[in-house]
Amino acid sequence: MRALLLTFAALLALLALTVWIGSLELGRVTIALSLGVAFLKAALIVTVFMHLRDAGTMIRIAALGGFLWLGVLFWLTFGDVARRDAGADAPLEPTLVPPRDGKSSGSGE
Amino acid sequence: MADRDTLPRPNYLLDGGTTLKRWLLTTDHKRVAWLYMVSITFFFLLGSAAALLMRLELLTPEGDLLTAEMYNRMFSLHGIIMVWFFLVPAIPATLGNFLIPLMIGAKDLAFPRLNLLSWYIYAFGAAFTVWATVAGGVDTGWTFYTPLSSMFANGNVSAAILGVFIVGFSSILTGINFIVTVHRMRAPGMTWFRLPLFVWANYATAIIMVLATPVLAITLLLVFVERAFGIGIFDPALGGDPLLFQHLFWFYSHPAVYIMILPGMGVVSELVACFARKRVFGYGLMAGSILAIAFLGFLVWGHHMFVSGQAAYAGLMFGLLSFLVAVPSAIKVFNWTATLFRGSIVLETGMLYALGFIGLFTIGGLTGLMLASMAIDVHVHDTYFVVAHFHYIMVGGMVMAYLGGLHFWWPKLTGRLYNEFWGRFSAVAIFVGFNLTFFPQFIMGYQGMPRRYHSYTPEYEPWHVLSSAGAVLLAIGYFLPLLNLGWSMLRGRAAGDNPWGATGLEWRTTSPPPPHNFRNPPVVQREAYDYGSDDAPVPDREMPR
Amino acid sequence: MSERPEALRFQFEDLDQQRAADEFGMWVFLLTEVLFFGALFLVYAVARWNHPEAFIDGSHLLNATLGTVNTAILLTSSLAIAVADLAVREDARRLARWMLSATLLLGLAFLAVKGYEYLLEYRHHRVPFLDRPFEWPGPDAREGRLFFNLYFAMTGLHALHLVVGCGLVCAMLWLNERSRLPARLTAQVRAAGLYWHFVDVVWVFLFPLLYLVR
Repeated sequence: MRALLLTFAALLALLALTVWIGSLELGRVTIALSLGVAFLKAALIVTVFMHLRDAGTMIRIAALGGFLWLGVLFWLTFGDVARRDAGADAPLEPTLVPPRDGKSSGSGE
Repeated sequence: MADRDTLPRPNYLLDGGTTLKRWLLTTDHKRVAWLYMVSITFFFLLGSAAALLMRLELLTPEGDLLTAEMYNRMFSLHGIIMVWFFLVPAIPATLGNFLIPLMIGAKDLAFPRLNLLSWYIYAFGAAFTVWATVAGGVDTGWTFYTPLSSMFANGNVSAAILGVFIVGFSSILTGINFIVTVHRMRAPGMTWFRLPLFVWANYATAIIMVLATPVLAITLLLVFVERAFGIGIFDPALGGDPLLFQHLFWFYSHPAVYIMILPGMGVVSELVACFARKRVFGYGLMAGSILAIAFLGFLVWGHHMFVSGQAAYAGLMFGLLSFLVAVPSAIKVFNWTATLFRGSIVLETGMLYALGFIGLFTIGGLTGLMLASMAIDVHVHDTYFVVAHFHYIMVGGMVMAYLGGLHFWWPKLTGRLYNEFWGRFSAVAIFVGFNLTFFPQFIMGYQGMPRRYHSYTPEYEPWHVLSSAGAVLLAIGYFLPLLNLGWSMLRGRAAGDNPWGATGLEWRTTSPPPPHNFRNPPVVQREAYDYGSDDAPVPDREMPR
Repeated sequence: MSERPEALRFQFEDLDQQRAADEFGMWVFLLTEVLFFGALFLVYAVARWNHPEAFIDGSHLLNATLGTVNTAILLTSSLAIAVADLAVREDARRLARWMLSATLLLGLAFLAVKGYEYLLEYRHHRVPFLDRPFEWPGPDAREGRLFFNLYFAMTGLHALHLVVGCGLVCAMLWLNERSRLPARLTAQVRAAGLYWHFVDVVWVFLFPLLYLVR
């Protein structure tokens, strides 16, 4: 019971913290900090309210596995999305790559 | 034989009521497996009919039998039905449902009512989709790519998407059920490394179902709300990213290829070991490679998008990762071959199907490597080369394995033996018909014949004629097991409890098993595939002729 | 065999096995929910990556005060159902009844506030679909539509989960009065609680991403 109440207090404190961070309008830093606080809150809820600290190995794996798999999904998708910019503003016609110099462009010696 | 008929033997087919109502309200995993089997057979026939119409259309270069629009609807119908309603549930929901509790020595799955619910969800969603596809027409292909599906396609696309979305939940429930069952319901002594490879394969499949299907579900839901309410998410006019749909779709649908093929690999491992009467070579590696395929399968989806406009870096990354899947797949093929080496091989029906699987899967896998190389893929993408490649995996691999497994465990399912001659004949007919249908497609695809066209230039005609002729043979081949197995239920000789002399707990109970599977709770004392030991089981039936 | 506890279902050997299977099954189900919402978060991430300015402007248009209040409501409801879980475990049915009722009321309060926010957005022409007029103060009106589309999709899906959660809590209230099998009731309340907390966790991520990241 005490653990539940303490966790609840911590959650409310973190809520205040995240609202305060949001009000600072720090741009990109806000995203990182807010997500960090959100992960902390989620961790508190999962470990105490959802009893993950008393759970067996398999349940822990199930709880973490989802986040790991999301990591795979995010990582590989951004492998495309984050690198697609090259040429995004360029016209859609095919472009010829100019030879770097006279020596390496031809196949013949 | 006599005492077998006189002693009262509890039997899940007769005990517990034989009325339709008792079947539709059953929670016995063996009966739910039958519900699935009847429904997927129906969808298989429907999907095959669409394919046959397409092959007939392609017999001549002109578009004379079907209009272009009808043809688009036909291949969409074929793809939607075969992928979503046949291949994905085929082995896990039928043989897996029936066998997993038997193989691990449990009375049922962990959640029997959930199991029945998953069938109802499946049946409802599938029927709904088929209605939508037939009544309104869907011409997006089975992939529902945006923005075609979200902004341009007419017809009942929304309803079809909703139906597939619903069927996804059946897959998720089956996955949860299998995972919990394998973890929590194993009989005393059934350690992880005594599990039959069929159980390993279905376990890995269940993991993929659980991890991948939700992503498909949300993606289809987003397309649905975009179509139905105009909540544009992938809409490029709002700055949305249509390619993102493809990422999310293939994050499910590439692993879904392994949902389809892994259970087939499990079946083949059982068949090869039993009919070569040898332990599976490298059991640990086999189990490990199943898990490796399940894991690596999640990292390669972008090879479906090489020419879609994704970043060149992503193409490189996904191409390289795709080659990694070949390693565990090759390990499996080598180990099956090593299992066969110096085995006492019996060419029963099941074995013929298994051998067919190994050969066709190898061809499908190797051409897959070609397609994973970007340079070749740019040349052959969207041609019949791709069509042939995935049919070698899905039909040559998966359907062969399904039929092989169905024949192998048929005596356990029904307590009857089918006609061995017609069994073997159909295995050979399907093998020949399959290759005649799809091998020419490799050639014409490589020459440049694009997929999804209802007419073509005459230079491809000979290959198309060969392919269509093969399709007819294949169709006949598929009817033979239906007749043979159906006939055996009425007239087949009674099978013993273990007609093949196979190891595995499922053969230690009666045929057909009692409602709760075992009279006495089994205790496992030995490894799987213990064919070498002196007291290995012997075939329990009259030998034919 | 006749000494099987009444709460034990036929497929299990003992109550320990049954409890372990139920709890593991619930967690695997939640795992699927993580991926279900997670993919939606990916859609958000990609859209935000492509149009950061529109998303910053968009979050200024949302009512952060109401969002904060709603977060506090949901966190409190999580505490309530956690206490209910404890109460059921010790067979304190009266306390359980109070705590489950509190959970239900807080859940409904969240939905009411959310509905009020939707109403405000409807009045201020921030609903970019169903052929409604759409007004956007900044320069990226098209990307602004994308932001609000995502906002409604994400919060709507979350609200839908909360409605299901309220239904579950109602069922638990009923079972708490009727159930004569404490072992089964404990398992059911535990499962309902896990689901409720999960919906809470989703909101914990939704709230800053939509309302606060400026």
